[in-house]
Amino acid sequence: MSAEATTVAWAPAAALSASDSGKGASGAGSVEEVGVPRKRSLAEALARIILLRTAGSVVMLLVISVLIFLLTYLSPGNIITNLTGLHPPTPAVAAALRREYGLNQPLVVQYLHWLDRFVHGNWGRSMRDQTSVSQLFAGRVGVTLALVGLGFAMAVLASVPLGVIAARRAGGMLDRTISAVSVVGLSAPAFATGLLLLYVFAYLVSAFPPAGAGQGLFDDLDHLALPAATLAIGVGAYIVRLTRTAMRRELGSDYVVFARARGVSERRLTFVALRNAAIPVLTMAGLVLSYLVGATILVESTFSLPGLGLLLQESVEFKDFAVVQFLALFIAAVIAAIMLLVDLSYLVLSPEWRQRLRR
Amino acid sequence: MASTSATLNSGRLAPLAIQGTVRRRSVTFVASLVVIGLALVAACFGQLLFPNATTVNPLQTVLPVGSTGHLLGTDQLGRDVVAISVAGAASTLLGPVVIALGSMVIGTFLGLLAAFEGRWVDFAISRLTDLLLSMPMILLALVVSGIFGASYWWAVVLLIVLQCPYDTRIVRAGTIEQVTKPYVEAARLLRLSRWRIMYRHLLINIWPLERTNLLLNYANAMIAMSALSFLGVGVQEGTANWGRQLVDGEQILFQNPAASVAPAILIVLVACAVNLLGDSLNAAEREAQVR
Amino acid sequence: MPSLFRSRPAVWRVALVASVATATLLGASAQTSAAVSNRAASGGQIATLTVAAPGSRANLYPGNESGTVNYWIDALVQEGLVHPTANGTYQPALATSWSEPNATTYVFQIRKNARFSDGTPLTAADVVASIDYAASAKYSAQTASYLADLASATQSGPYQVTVKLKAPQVSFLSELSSSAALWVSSKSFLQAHGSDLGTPTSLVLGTGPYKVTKFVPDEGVWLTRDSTWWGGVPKVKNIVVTFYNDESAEYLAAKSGAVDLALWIMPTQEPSWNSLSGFHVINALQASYVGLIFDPNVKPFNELAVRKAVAEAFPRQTFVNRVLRGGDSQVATAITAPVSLRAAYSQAGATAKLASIPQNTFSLSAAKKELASSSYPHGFTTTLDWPNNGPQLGLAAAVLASNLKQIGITLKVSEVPIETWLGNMFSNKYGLNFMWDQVMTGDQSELAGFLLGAGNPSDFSNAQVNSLLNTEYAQTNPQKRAQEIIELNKLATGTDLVDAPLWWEPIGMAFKDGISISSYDFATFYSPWAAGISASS
Repeated sequence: MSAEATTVAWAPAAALSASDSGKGASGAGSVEEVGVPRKRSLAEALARIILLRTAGSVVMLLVISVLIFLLTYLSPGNIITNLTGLHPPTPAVAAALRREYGLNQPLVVQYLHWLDRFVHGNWGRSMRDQTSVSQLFAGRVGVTLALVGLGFAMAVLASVPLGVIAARRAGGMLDRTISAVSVVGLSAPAFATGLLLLYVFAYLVSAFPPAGAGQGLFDDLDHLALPAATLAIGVGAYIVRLTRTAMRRELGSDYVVFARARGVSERRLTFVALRNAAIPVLTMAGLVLSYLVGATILVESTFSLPGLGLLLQESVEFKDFAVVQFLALFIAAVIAAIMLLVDLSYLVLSPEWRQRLRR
Repeated sequence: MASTSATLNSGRLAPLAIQGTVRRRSVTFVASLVVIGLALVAACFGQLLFPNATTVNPLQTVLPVGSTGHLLGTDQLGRDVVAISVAGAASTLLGPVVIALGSMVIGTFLGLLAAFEGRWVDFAISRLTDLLLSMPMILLALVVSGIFGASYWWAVVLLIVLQCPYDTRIVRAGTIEQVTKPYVEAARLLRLSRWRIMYRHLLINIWPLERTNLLLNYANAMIAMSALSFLGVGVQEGTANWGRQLVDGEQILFQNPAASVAPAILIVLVACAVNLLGDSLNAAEREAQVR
Repeated sequence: MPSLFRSRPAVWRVALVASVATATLLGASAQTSAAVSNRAASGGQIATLTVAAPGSRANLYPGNESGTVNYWIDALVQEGLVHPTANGTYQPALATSWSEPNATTYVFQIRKNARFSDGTPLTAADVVASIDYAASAKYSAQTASYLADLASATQSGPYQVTVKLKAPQVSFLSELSSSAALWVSSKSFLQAHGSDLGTPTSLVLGTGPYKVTKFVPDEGVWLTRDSTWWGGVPKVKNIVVTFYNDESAEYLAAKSGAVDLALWIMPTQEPSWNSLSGFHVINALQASYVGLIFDPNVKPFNELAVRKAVAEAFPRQTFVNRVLRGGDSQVATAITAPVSLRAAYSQAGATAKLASIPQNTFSLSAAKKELASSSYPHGFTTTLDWPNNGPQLGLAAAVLASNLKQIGITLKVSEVPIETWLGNMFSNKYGLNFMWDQVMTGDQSELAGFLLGAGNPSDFSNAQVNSLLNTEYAQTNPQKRAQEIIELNKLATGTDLVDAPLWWEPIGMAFKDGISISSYDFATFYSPWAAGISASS
């Protein structure tokens, strides 16, 4: 058994896919009959995917909205107390508030009212700030997107090359150092890393400001540098290690060995291997991005950045339903889009996936 | 094949006796083992060694590093930092193991299924994954702690739920690559059941990926548990736990930094050791296979 | 982290359901427009004052978000009619004088030279509109209940406003201040922006010495001097308030020189700030109360013996000395702090009077005896939540749990967000809770009234307490009132034991050396405090 696995595991991926792509082999699945399989053009297949995914995502968003509604209802605390503070409201005031926010109606009705308004573009109002949700969102989305974008870019730009280097020099000093350093980055919680960076770069060296988002583009970058670096350090390790593992596997493949024997340059080989290793790397990148989208809260908290992460936490604790719902759906939509892009990129890069698609 | 390994490893080769017996002279391997060993000893015997680690002692609060009888000083409740760190090993180390394993088991099951079956099964599982990825941790944490109180094991369950979509996606991607390979086709032609194909054949081939992921998940799970404390929906007060200490110690960061820095270093050390050990095992296994 | 900074939305104020004012001025002759000389700064100019504030603010108007820091920031911009001071008197703010023709009527003379920062002059119509807005549950949900006894506010002359109450309330004057519920804006502004007052787009408009130029929720507030302020031209030209979510980040910022003034240094932080060179911390004593509250409707706290056992299990003096190291915290002998009784007694006199109230002295053996005499001699299990922005409460909970364990009671301690803590307190499901509240108007029964009056968190009521409350509510003689309040305290913390006072803590402000404030007490920051700040040599 293991012998079987061992021998076939080393089967050159590139060689195989080259021979298979034209034949429309049946691939995975339960298709047993032999015959002329239906072939789809790539464009048709892509269109089908995108359509299906969008439809599926809409259903998913609906399910999420129901879940969030229930969870917000179940979460501890009392919206009336939150609205009136530590003062016991007079019964008249409490009743007026309940009426204003529709809290007397059965849960299903409350949900449907919200849904009805939502799909008509009325995203509601924050009970906490008294601002409209769209205004609140618009004011804060920039910071989070910039933070996530910058953090992700830093992570990928640093980690992929490091992973490649580690793979090529596998077993050596450089490999071990890269692995160790990346794990250190991964093992410290974001708030601890953030604090350390603050201590070194905002206090010892005074290179960056300690809090806030800044005004104007360059000031923004200045303010976002440390938080983005904190994010990048936290997730970079994943990308480094998975790149390394995937590259190692490719570099150990027969086709690489043969190519090397024939005198193909290392650089070329690295590129080809990287392209083949791209699938897991891309998966990881997609997951990292999804993770970042939802997890900026620790960094925003440490660096006092007025972004969506902090807003979500405050709104959840306040039971500010409209805001929580909007943010949750926004995050879900972004993640669905990222996953779709990642899956589409698989198609571009990998013959196996294209093949699977055409079944 | 020997020449292959010689080319691949740009350095020295350690001689291996037989596949399965790993004998490395590598320093990192030994160091990792030592660290993990110590951590395990602390986890098993910590409570015995320091039975009063969590006793509140208001008479000796925030003593600095190097005080008599308190090598690393004390925290705000007068608890010795060394004692509570050792006693905290069990709580810190156990939960993340369950999280990483639990997430891997679920992720493997769903990921293999999605990749192998394809079509609607894949579609459904992928949408489920997207859904779980989108759930805001703070909301779930708040609800869980609201309903169950500050409970360690419910936090573990929560983190398993939040972690498994990542594992599912990774396993799915890894499997899809494998699924078009000839051995799978061969297995199908041999009319092997789908479960056998998935769990005996596919799993072996994606295992290296999974193992790397498992170890990273372990480190991540330790962090995630301390993040819950940071967010203020923390796990039970007063229990010795490195994540809890790390967060609690921030108040006296500039008075006795050891209260925060000691647990932070411990977390980093253990996570590193676990991962480096995994690396060494990976490499050794590779060597063995190559032979 | 059990730190105050984790996105702390607010620290809520105690409701003044039955709030009583110091009676010195009632029925007295009209007050003249005294100069605000005790606030005027005497030093040099400051171009920009960088202020660090803890937590997050989402709205500038305290009627929408009534956190203590919200009050402090808006106090720079908007004013009330009068202002309570720390020595028991009222200072004129937008009312230059006032009189009380009968127990339910106040007549205010409105300041003639006050201008809003958009240039328009203050008129009586603006005051009336502002009072109506402040009393509206729709627009000022968080503070409107302070004005529950308001019957009407009308313009009775070109610069005169008459306020009528539904029933006599000796303390009503203190509600018409920026320490409680009133922030005067212009009528036209309220009409234009009333539904989203305090948001980044509408901001706030007031007559105070500063105007807001920019507000980014959770990030900061930018203010600039309004030279048309009736109280003079402040020495500080610009103020930048930055919200710090993380206390260590704030500390590092101060260490690196980016902060001139850090607001609200908690007792647990004081040692760090005191040792920070270049800064000095000043404290307003007894500005905050921490205690346990019991709900006698929830078992096992329905038994007095059980409540006594818990109250006697907390080592208050040791905790204050050793855990709240330094920082001028004191063991609370009662709910009402001596500083609140200053209208009737001197500080020393008030302290002595309150100390004579029977105390729940720490003694584990006594606690064990009490428990043995109850229906739960072998102990029980219960929970205690603490709000995550008050780390000192978490420490107290840990100490209490550790002591209760020794007498057989298992206390499960839980850190929760402040909203959860609030919700739990009023949910009547929990028999034991923390009470944590700030002194704001300094009214004699500011706290006692809340903890014992209608709708109190203990859900407690009895005839004796109610009759005392009714009496002191309308009691015009300050000494008699103080005595009634001391009686209330005795019932609350002794006979009926629904509250176990733990400690009074100060509110500390950390000033950079070279910057000083002319005076600082618990009332300062609820008034235009920056007018008292200047550069010292």
